[in-house]
Amino acid sequence: MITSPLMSLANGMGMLAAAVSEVTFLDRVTAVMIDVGIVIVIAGMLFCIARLLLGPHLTDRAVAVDTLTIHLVALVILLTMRAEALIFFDGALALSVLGFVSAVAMGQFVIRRRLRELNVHEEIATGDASQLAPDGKPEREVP
Amino acid sequence: MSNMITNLLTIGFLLVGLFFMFVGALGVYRMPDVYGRLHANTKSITLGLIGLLIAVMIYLAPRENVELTSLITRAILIILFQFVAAPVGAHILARAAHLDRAPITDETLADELADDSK
Repeated sequence: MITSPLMSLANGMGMLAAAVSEVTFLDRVTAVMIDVGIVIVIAGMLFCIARLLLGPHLTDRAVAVDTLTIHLVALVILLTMRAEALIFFDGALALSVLGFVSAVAMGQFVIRRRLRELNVHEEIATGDASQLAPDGKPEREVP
Repeated sequence: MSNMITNLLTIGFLLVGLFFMFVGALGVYRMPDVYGRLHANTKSITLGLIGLLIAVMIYLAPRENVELTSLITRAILIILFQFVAAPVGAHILARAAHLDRAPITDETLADELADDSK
């Protein structure tokens, strides 16, 4: 059987293409890792929900919701990897923007409410806190 | 061969990202006061999200049905936005907590904002 170098090269390239197209062991390991990642992210979301229900202060709950939103972004990213298409990927960007806006809104809500309790004009919130000393509320309590 | 490198890099960045995401969630649950929870939320979660986004970029870039520019643009946009947004949101929440006298742990060594406002 006479084999020219050109024929052996074509034969090798055909084998390489066959090796690329078939599913290897490492492909399966990666797919299992993505599924395990979805489980881990959902476990983290359960911790965030526990803090959201337990949190003693309103800002604790706001932090928990912020973390929950970013975990949701991570879940969308993992689902994108699982689906191998970009159909969900815009949702990740929208959710990260939504998490930031909700954190800012909760922070501003707490600040405004506190200042209305103190009957202080709202522009002081951006400046120093020296005007806030003579208030009726007791000093910071230690849990 | 390139398939193997892609898979190994994906698994590596996925493990890093998932580790930091889970540690961040655990910190949000376990830390003693609001400021510690903000600490876990901001830094750890940002790093975890960056790991996951690098993993998805490496994993989906060789696919033929995925548009490369669309993938890379959105992933880098999410990373940049998270870099800007996480510290700003954490700052506003920390300031709101301090102004509203949120409960603070007794292991705190110094509270300079409260000292200044006296």
